[in-house]
Amino acid sequence: MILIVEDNEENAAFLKIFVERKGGWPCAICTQGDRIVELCQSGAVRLVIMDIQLHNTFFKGNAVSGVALARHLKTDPSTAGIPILLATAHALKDEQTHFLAESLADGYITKPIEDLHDLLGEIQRLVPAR
Amino acid sequence: MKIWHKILLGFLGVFVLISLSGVPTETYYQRIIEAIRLSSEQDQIAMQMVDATEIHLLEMESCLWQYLASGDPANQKYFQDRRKHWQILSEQMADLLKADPHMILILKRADRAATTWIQQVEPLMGAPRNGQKTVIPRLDDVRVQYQQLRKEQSRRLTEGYEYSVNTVERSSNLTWFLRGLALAVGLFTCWLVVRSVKHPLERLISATARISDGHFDSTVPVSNDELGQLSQSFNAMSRTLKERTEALEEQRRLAVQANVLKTEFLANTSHELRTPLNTIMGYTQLILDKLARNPDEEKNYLSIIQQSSKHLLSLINDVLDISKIETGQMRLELDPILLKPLLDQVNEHLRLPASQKCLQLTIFQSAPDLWVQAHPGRLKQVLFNLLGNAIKFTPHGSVRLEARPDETRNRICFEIRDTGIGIPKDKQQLLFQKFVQVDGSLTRQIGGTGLGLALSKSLIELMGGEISLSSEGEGCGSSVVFSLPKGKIT
Repeated sequence: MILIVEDNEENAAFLKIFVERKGGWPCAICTQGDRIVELCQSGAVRLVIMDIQLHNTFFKGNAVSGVALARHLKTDPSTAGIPILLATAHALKDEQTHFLAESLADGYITKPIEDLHDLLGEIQRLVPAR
Repeated sequence: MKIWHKILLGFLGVFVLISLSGVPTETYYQRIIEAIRLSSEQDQIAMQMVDATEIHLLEMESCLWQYLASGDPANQKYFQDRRKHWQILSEQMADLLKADPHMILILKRADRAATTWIQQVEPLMGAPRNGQKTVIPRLDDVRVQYQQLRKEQSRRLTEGYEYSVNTVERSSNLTWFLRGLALAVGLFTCWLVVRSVKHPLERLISATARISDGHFDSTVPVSNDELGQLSQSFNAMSRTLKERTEALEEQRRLAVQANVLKTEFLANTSHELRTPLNTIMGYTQLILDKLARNPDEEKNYLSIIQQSSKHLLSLINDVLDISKIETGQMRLELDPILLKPLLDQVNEHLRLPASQKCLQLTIFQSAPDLWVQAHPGRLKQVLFNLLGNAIKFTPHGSVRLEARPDETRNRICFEIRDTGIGIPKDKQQLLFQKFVQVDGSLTRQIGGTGLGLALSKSLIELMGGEISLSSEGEGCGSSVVFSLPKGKIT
């Protein structure tokens, strides 16, 4: 399953539709921090597509950004193996470098996503073979 | 070469010249002493003349004796001859000594004594010898007079010479003393000049160096001479420099800050424009890849695309409006507007988003015929903005707009009150600033470019109104009050 962490409902919806129907990956949408960590720890998640600005996402009672959440997943040994793809509308090169380093994520896509087919390729590349 | 070295050198030059001037002066003094010596020779001649005169008298006495002894008439002639010479010498001596009344007096006394003696002895020279013992007047008294004259002359000679030489020497010594004094005074003056120039100059030099190192608060003590004036000007200059530098620094800081804010604004704007664009491109891709399962689903995608496009357009318009206001290009035509239909329209548009969040939206006016002087489109935009914000930031409860006249100020007041998340006190002032978004996730959670309030404030001000915001703090809701001039019904 691919976990889509994106609080803009419409954007999350088209991602899910495209990845499921075009790429054939089952997807889930979640914006609740604790639930996201739970799902990842359950072993069902094979990749996380993480938005950076999460508006109503709380983890252990505190508001968190996608970067902080990704960092948490990457530093927790039980979830560190799950590849994370950052997705955000922050387009500046500096910001991307900074966010990547900060989040320890594996890849980065800029919104608007110019070609969704490239996203499928990126998912293919990052998801480890079973 | 330093200035004080030059001053010192100049003074030394003057000293050398003064000292060198002693050489000719000393020569002149030597000449004066020589002249005195020469003039004293004349006096010595007078001295010799005294001797000669006395010798003539002695010879006259001797003639008398010989005559009395021998009766030789030759002696008579010789006596007369000596007497004539004595007369001449006596006159010459008087001429020589005429400048000195004292000497003349003594000379006359001697002359008188001699003349008396001659008158006493002269008859004896002519008288026949009668073998009688003749009493001859003695010459000793006369000689005493002449000795007196000689002594006096000798004294005068010594005294005069010594006096002249002493005077010249004293004069020479005085000159040397004055020269020494001039040297001392000169050195002292030189020291004073150097001291009064050197230290202020050194202080100015070091202060200038400090200023060039960026320490603009450097000042120098002010004395009351020309250097003091220079120091005063210097201090004034330093002050001006400090003020200007600070002003420039402040301007630079503001420019940098403005630039940072603008960059931030651009980055935020870019981010906000990309989000609806992402939706548009995403759903377009779904349609192109024929991923919709039925026509209704496809229609839904298209309607999402349309909504996002509208949102994108409104964002672009906001940015353009802000830009126009920023460059002073926005001019608004103000007309009297009846508020009721406008508020109805606002209500119409916002009822749906409010009800979607289960919020109670109330739009209330205290009288049915309120008129306001405004630009209808822009007033609507402001109300949409402020009410839209209130709805966005209120998770549950109510949003209320109240319009009421403020008779004392001849204005219409609009108050938008919500039961939303509120605004921290320290952020309240910040909210109206252009290009400033409340930092952190708060604004970004809700979306928008962070321009809404800044744009509303600018628009209200362009319509001659004012706006203020208050909130008891986070979680206490917030209240925005703005007022516009009353519309005049013509």
